[in-house]
Amino acid sequence: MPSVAGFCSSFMRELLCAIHAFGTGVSRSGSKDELKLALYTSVSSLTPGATTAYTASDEVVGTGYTAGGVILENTNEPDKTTTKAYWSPSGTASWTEVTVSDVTTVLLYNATQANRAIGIWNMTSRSVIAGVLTITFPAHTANSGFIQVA
Amino acid sequence: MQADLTSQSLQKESLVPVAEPLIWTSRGNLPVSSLTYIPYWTLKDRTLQFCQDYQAADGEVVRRDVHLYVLPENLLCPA
Repeated sequence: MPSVAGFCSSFMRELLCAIHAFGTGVSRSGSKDELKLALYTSVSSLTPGATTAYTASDEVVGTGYTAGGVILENTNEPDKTTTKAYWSPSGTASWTEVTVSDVTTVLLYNATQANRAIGIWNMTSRSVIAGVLTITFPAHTANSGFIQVA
Repeated sequence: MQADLTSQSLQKESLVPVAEPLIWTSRGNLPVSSLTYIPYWTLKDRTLQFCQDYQAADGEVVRRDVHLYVLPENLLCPA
């Protein structure tokens, strides 16, 4: 069964338990968490209901790609309006001079908190050939925030 | 007699190679002009994908860049 896109239900539960910290206003000890993005092939079977953490199973393998993926730059603080809360990463995740086959699924996870899974996204399966792979997120605004809670 | 060192004369004598843009590919650095550039877009689930293929004369794609844009999502009411 191919991977299914969506925010992980474990992530939503963990938000209620104050496990994830996307910004500096961390009530528990420590600073904001380090988020990472990993890539998977079409053989992967990640699902929002069952995936609770990063796994190396069915992760892409290739030149220029290291297992575990890359760190997602995050200098944006979660923000709010009178009707919603929102957050977007501040940077673009990228791999350069990479050659990987069958990239189909992207997993966002929290590397600081035991690699707990956050969300899964699918794309049209594609090979990257001696090229660049970038993942860009929406602007950090109320109307376009990557994660919106309203 | 003073030598004529204008850029025009130097190029005429092939002393200054004409720079040609190169791009890294699976076959090493190749002149961009020798490749066919094929951009295309696809949309799946919540990701917009923009691909840039560079195709050699024999039809092989020797470089492909892939750019993903992940669309916003409401955590409580997913699209």
